Amino acid sequence: MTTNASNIVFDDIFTISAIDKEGKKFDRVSRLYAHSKNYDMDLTLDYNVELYPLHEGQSFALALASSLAKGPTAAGGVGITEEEDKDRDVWRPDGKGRRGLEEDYEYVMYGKVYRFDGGTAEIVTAYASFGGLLLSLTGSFRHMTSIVLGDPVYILLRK
Amino acid sequence: MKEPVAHRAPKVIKKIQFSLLNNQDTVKISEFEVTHRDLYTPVDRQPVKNGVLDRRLGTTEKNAFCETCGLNSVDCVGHYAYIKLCVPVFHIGYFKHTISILQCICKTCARVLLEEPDRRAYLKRFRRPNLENIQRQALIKAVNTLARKAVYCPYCAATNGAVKKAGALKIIHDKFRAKKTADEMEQWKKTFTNAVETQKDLAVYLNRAVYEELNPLKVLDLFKRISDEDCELLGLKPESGRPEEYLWQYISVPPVCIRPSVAQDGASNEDDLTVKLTEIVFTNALIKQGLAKGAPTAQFMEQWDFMQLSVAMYINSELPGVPPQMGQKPIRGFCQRLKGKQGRFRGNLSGKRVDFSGRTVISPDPNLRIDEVAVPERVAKILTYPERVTSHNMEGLKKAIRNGCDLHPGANYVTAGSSGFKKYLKFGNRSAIADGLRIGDVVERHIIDGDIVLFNRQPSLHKLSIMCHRVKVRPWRSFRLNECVCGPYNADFDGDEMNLHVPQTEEARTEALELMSVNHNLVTPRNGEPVIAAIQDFITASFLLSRRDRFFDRRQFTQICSYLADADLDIDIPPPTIWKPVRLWTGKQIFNVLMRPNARSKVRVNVESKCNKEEKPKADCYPRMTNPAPDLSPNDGWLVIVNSEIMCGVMDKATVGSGKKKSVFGVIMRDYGNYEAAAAMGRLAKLCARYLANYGFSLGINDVIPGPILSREKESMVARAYAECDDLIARAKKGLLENKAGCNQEQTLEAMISSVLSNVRDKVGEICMRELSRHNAPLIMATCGSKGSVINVSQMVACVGQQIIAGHRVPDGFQDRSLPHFPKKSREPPSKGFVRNSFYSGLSPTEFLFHAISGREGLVDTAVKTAETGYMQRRLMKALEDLVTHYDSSVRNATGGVVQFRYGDDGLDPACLEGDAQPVEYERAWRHASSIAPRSSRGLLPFEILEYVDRELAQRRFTSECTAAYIATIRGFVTERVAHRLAEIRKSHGMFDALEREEEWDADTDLSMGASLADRAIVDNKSKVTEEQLRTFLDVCWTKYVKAKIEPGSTVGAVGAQSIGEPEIINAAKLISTPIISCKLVTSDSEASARIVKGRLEKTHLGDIASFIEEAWAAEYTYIGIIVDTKTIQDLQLELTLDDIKWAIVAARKLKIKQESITVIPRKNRLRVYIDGADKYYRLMDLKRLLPGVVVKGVPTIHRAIINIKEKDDWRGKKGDKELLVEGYGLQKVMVTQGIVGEHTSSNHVIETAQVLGIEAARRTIINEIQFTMQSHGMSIDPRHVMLLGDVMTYKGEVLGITRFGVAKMKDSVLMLASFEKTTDHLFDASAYGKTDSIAGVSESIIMGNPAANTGTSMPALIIPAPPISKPRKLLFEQAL
Repeated sequence: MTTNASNIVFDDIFTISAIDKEGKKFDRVSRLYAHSKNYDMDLTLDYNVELYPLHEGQSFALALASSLAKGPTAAGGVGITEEEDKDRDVWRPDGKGRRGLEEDYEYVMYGKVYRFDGGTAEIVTAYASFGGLLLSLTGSFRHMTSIVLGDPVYILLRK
Repeated sequence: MKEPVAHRAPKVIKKIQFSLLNNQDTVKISEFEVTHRDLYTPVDRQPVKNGVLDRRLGTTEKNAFCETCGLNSVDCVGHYAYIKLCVPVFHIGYFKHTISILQCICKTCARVLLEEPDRRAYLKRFRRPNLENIQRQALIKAVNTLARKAVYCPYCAATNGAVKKAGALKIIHDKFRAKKTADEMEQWKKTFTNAVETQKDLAVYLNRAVYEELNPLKVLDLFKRISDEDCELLGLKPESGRPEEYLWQYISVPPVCIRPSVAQDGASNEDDLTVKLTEIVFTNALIKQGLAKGAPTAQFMEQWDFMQLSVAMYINSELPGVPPQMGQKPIRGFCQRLKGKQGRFRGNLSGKRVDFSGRTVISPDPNLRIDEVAVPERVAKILTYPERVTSHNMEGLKKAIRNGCDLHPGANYVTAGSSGFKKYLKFGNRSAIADGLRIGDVVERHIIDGDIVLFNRQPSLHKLSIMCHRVKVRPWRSFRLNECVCGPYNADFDGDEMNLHVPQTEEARTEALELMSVNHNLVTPRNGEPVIAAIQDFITASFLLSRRDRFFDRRQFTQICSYLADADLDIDIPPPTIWKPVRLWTGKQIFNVLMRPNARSKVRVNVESKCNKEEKPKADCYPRMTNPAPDLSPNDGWLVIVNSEIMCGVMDKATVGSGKKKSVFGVIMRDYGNYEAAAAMGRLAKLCARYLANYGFSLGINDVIPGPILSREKESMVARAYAECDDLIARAKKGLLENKAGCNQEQTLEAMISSVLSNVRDKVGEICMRELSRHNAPLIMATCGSKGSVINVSQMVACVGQQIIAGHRVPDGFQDRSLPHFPKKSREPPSKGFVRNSFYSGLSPTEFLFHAISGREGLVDTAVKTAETGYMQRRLMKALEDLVTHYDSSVRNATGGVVQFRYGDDGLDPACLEGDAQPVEYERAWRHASSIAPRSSRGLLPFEILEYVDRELAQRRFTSECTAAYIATIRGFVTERVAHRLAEIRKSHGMFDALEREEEWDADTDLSMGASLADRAIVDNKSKVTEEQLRTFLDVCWTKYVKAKIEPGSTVGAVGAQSIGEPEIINAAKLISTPIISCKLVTSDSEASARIVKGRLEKTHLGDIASFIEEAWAAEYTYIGIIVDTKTIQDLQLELTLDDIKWAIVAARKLKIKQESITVIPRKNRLRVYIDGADKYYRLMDLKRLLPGVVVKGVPTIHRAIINIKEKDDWRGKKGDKELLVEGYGLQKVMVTQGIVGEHTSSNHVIETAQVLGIEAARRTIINEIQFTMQSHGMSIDPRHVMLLGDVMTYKGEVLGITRFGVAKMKDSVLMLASFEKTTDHLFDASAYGKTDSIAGVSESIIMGNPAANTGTSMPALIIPAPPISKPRKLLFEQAL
């Protein structure tokens, strides 16, 4: 399902259907509600409106990646080597380490997939939190095979 | 020759024997007889020889010496003297006992008035070994009642009548009271005929006085003649006191040191006792003189009475029956010295003044750890700790000695280990002393950082009011503590003072540190909720910091992280949340760092809970989710933390504050221990204080100015509410309002107006929340719960609202109106105390007054409540203080009586329970276990899970340590929540559910039935369970259970009393309602049958069903005719016949109507009550008035019965069932009523339940009632405390209240009862009956200065064989006594 690299666990193009449906509660953060045509997925995402202003009707490309490294990692996707595991939570202020994927996107966040909820057998919701900014992705479980509970995840956005 | 001391083994008082002071002992302990009434010689103002201030009694003057022992006033212990009374007088303390003995004995031969068989039976019962006090008292009472009935003495056949008190100190014997003795009385009166003839006046007295006065002389004679065996029958122990000792013959004169004279420029002021003693001496001398000279009898009697009164006043100046002398202050007798809060027992024996303590004002310091207290240097220089010199601390102590008293880390005294000689370090050569310091010496050094002290704030309502802190010596003058610790002390900083005590031995320090340390008391034992947690500004700062839109760049983030600690903490900066376009961290990440600062930290918090204000996500905004997770709360009101990373939710009152088991600190404490929780709290305090100081959070006038929309909306809402009220009032005037249940028109109107007005306030509150800015300070505080509520905000901004006085709107203080500003009889909101203005807009004069009234009421209420709850606490404490768990986990009182066989039925400590009265909260424990354990290994199949759990639970560590019930709940949880869930999900994705292992499966069987990779991935994501996760979960369950077991020696009684006695709880408990019997109906679905049963129960008066009650007069007969209204009977569905009515009338005893006089005329539905006799007319009028009140049907003790429809299912039936609620008494009658299921009928009246169903049912009722009231007030208290209270109130076999009467029946100890209430009564009782006190309980041990045996740390003991001790040598002075 992924296009170029197996680090990307999910990607699609979403169209924003609404912003802050339940009222604007925060100054710098809004919640967008979007839908994708390709996989027929529903998305809600909290994002920083100051850094990345979006408005209703706009479309954007979204990718979820397990790492920012371009190109496939050794075992691809799920299998994680020991070395990788070691510096999974390591972050280097000097910008070294595995990276590259973010160059193609405008807005990148880092967080964790922490919950899977299944309403029916078919429709599944994955929840991820980016330092408190929530993402919920609802749709057929077939498109979320590579998303693993408890794994760190990058979200990458591009208009 | 000096006798060598035999041994110096510590001695302990094991018991106290109370007895009477007899004449021999009085004289033996005395030095001389007091005969002189004067105090001082007139010439040289020296104490008079043989006076009550004789120098031989000791002295209180500084420059004088005792003439007996030759010591000065400080060293002389005092000596006694005596007064020999020439006639005996009653002892006021034993007056009641004297009377009761006189009632029991023959007033002629002094034998107990019991027939021989009774006598033997009672004697046997009195001689039973280990007779309990209650039983003994009951026996005494039984003997007394039996003996009082006897008219003729079975031994000498003399007549005996009633003995009673007449006047304050007079006993009379009404010899011929019994009717059958009338002849004897005549006989006896005849004996006076001769006398009457000679002296006519006598006849008057003879007709009046048939009483015999029992004066002390007579009584003494009788008492002396009582045999020792008879004494036993009277409940006395002849070896410790005989009845004749109840009377005063010799009065002991106490040493002067207990009644010091106060010299005041020339004159001296004497103590009340001295004054009374001189009075006694004087009167005694007068009587003696009179007797010698032969004074008239009247004068003698008068003087005797006066002496009697003086002696009584000397003992107890508050005599009942003696009016206090007006104009002069009441004197202080011995009883007054013992009694009351300031008396000897409560003021000096139960509570003593201590050394090594300090008190000053407190102030806050967030930079202290939570277990620290900052002690001012000037305090630290006075409080010392005696440290013994060892080779390890030698250098430090030498330095301290050199520093001396005035330089801080110094020392005040040095005691040489060899000689015990103590040196003061203020003077002298300190260097020399330091150089000469030797191992084994003791240095009283100043307290220094890290020392252990106890910190306390009054009122000490629970054990957390005194906790152990570590010292931090700091400059200035106040004690300082971390604000987090304000909760348990209930401290604020508006001038509060607190006390500090320094334990003086290593044992005391260790005990304090282990049991009382702040770290060990983060939760309240009341229900296991945290009490030490972030408050006020800490909550505000946490909230501001953790809001979703709080972002920091790297500089800010690292700066804030460095606020966490004192540059002594390694911090791993987490990866930023936003990587592009700029790197930003969120505020929540600060808290991730706070919980787990670096990778070495093991703290991995896992919790999910509701925040203070949660808005639920609207389901229609998330159409494809069946129900959106609470995580999606639009205002971030749901907290999820996974492995110390906040996924969503804010930090507010509910998550960092006190009172929630699922708060962050509560969770850290349960999972990682007290120290981690305390450390995290310390980090939070530092972070919040520093962050908020930098951020600047303040409140100004701008915060309370309403915006235009807000004002407009508020105005219109208030106007609408006013209109609504006007409408209601108008309708009420016309009587159009439908009455609410149990209310009349006026009450209904009040209720409706009140609801309209309180509604408007709530609505205005909502507008405030909506319209005010997100940066409004009061709003932020209300939202995060740090201070104030939404209502407080709206009171400032929009509308103050209705003022309530005594639960109602403002009452009418003037005629028909609250204030003359309003029209009379006005019910409108403004005239009854509705304040439409806000504090910002300002109150109108009338509004201001109403608000002030309401405010004053609040103040008065608090003042009254504190006094009442304090007393309640004291009573509870006295009743429960000695209950302790033992090594067999039973709860026993001090005398070893079992109160519970297992504490709380499961032997768990309420303070260690993280679930709702459960040791483990399974949901969270499972989530925690699955998060911290690796998830990467192979997922187990459902049957594997079950097998694994069964295998683990069968292990010895589970079977030996945990109860079967607990193991069953673990297994139940895993089966239900883990295995079955997995199986279900597998099934829905088309796999085998694999709940049971099938024979044909082997390693290669594909149990997924060829499901796709995607299916497998999603099943794993949803519910993968690894073996490690399961193991961790079971480990957690086991550890928590074992930790939660109550320790032997725990003072569960005291802790329970404190938990129940907290003010809020008591206030709720007071509201226990009227007695209600709730009954299940046989046919619970039919309204009609319920009505019939109701008719059977509710009382129906004759007046209700009679259409007419008439009087009929004729020459030959007179009767009252009653015409019964059968239609009414049918309408009310009563099963009532005319005969029933007849018998009901007969059954009404008061009317005294015989059944023959009633005739029934069935066809006409009439009853006739015939009346004849002399005063027919009055009798008829009387009956006519009383007859309508006769209860013809139903239970008279029942007030009313209500048919209730159940609101929810319970054990008694399902929702929607009808049940009957009966107000009143008569459980037994209700239970046997037809149509009621007797076994499902219960009363909330404890005593009645005990009478009808027995003591176990009464216990259940007590527990249920308390739990119910607690729940309805939204307070949580662990059921174990309530159970203990229920058990204490019932374990003696009868329901005992927590009052002085109940407590007296629960306890045997005299000292304990004396220190509770009625001090002197208990003491006199004890000596009159020769009781012993075994000094086993807490109060007694405190009074005697013993460690309370069998409680807490004094429970464990070494068992060693008793050392051989030779027979004690008789000492010389022992024979002297």
